Formats: sequence, C-alpha cells, structure tokens
Amino acid sequence: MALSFVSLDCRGIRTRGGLVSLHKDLLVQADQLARLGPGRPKQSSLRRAVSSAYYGLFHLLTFEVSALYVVEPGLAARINRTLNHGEMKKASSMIANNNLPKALQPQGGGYDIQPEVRMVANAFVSLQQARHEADYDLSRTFRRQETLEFVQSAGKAFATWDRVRKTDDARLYLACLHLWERWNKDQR
Amino acid sequence: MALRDFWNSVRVGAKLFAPQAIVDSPRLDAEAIERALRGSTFWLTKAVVVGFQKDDFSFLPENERNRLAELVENFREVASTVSPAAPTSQAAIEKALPLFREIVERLGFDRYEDAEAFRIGKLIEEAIAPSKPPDLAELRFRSGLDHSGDPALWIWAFLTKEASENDEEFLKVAQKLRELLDPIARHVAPDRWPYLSFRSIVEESELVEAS
Repeated sequence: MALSFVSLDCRGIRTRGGLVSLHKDLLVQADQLARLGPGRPKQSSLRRAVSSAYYGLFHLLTFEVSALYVVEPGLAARINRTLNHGEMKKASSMIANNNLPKALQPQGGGYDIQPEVRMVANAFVSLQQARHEADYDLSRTFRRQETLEFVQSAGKAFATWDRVRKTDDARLYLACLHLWERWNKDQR
Repeated sequence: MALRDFWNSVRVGAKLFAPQAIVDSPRLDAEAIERALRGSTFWLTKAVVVGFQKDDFSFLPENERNRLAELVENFREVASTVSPAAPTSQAAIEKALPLFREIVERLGFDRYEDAEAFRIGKLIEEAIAPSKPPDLAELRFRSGLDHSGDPALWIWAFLTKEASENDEEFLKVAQKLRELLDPIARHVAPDRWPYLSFRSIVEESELVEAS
C-alpha cells in the first residue's frame, strides 16, 4: 500500500517509555482508510480517514505539550487530558495568523512567528473542521482524492513539525495550546 | 442586506433552492435553467428581482456589473406589463425568459451557496485570474460559521481531468493550489477562516457507495 506522503522518517518519531506512537499510527491508518475500495470508496472509510488524520495531528501536539513538562507516561497522559479542542483551535488560528497572545506581544508589535509553525497551526485548524464535518455533517459527501489531500495535509504538518519542534516558536505554540485563555486576557 | 435580498429573491423565483451542500450541487447550464423556468411562470414578476441595487455589486468588474443592471432593468420592464389578474402572454414569457435565465446564470447558484459567498468568491476569482493555474477547473464557495461558531469561508477547488488522473499528480497540484488560494482568501476576507478542499472535476460525478 502506497504511503507516499505519510512516509515519516521513523528516526523522527518519538515514543515515550516504550509506548507505541499513537499519533504516527493514526496518520498511517488515515492513509490506509483513504485508499480502501479505490473504485467506490465507502463514506464510512473516507470519513474515518479524515477523522484519523486530525486525531493524528492532535495527539502529536498533545504529546509534545506534555513533553514540555514531564517524561513519565502516566503524568504525561494526565497533562494531555487538560487540553481541549476548542482552546487548541483558538490558539492555533491566532498563531496561524501570526498573532501572539496579548501577554506575549512585544510593545509596538512586530514579532513574526516562524512560517513553519504557522503552517502546522493552520493545518490543525483546517483538519479540526474537516474532522467535525466528517463525523457529524451528513449533508455533504467526501471524495477519495479529497480525503487523500486532507491526509497529505496532516502528513506535511508532521514532517514540518519534526523540523522545527526544538525552536522557541514551536515551544511557544505548544504553550499557547493550553495557556491561550490565560495569556490572552487583558493586561492590567 | 439588499444584495442578500436580491440573491434570495432570484433563487426562490427560479425555484433553485439551496442544495444540501454546494460542493455536491449538480451543474446548472442554460438549458437546465430554461427547462426549470418553462415549468411555470411564477418568476415573471418584479418581485423576483427585488432589492437589486447596482452599487451592491461594486465587487464585480464594471462590464459584469453593467450587464447585470441592464438585465434587471429590462426584466423589470417586461414584468411591469404582466397583470397578476390575467394569464401571462406567451410574448411576455419569450421576452422575459432569456433575461431572467441570464440573471440566474450570472448568479451561479451551483457555485456560490449564498450572497456573501458570491461576493467573496468573485473577488477571489478575480484575484487569481491573471495567474489562474491551468489545472484548476472550477471553484465553489460557501460562507457561514464553522463548528465552533467562528466566521468561515469554504472553498472547494476542482482540478481538471488531466491533473487528477493519478493521485500523485492530484496531490502535487492540490498542494500548489492550497499555497496560492490560502493567502488570497485571507486577504480578501480577513475576518473569515478559509477552509480549502480539493476534488477532481471527474470524480465529482462518480457514484459514492452509501455506507
């Protein structure tokens, strides 16, 4: 089975405490589902592919957020559970549009977030909406190549993230994913 | 508001009600529109073009705006000769039908799901016109709120048959189009998040097995 755009460099895929890399598996699964029954794909397969592509990126980012603090898998899992899709979307849409939370904005503005980080944030917002439509909106159909493109988008976000994950902007984005509300309050 | 009123009046008059999803909407050609209009003459009234103001279409190129205004004016003229209390004459129908059909065609109900999508879509199409990639067959637009209630714009880009013949080529072209369309959409409608999807113009008509 072709995995042309999710062929991640396994050296770049991190595991914690020997645990299987859930995010990578979800991405591979998304690709497999999108290619099932090429002639007449089932809507259920295509919709699950879109959903898996989003959750792959979601779990990659939550994995990285908890890794900012701890190594121990149990603690990391509990930190992951404090993240929510809504706040992650809000933070990602702002970061993708090159906006920092109010508390971090330099006086006079002028801070440019790394384009690669903005690209990952952009993919996160777009895939979250696609996942919502795939799971709940039965008024539209999904097509095979359309679905493959969503999976490609997630795959590119994975690859881009791997290149920039150690930068300040990437860590800042991760922190924003769960501190956005707090950091974006009006400063006194 | 007036743009939306006009948009809705024409759509209702032509009995082209909003599809389930614009992306799956069947193509509307002149013949299909005419067939629908010949089914009844309820559309032959000034009310179907209510709300039209030329200034509301400032986003259209001048020649398109002028042509739409001309069509509406001529249609109103014919409609004003029709009495609601008497049967509509064949002569009036034959005079009004090509005018109303062209108005319907120009509003592109199969490509723009709502009035705001029409406005933004036209601006985006105009922005890419000078460098329109040959692999792009068609764009479709919808405006609304996304799942979390934020203003959004959905754009479906349909790729040509040639660009969709194999998945590798399709994905390569889609990636290029994403890079082209995303910043343009953000520039044209900065208050709306652009959600882009890509389809093949061929795959559009392919049957999808119900799950």
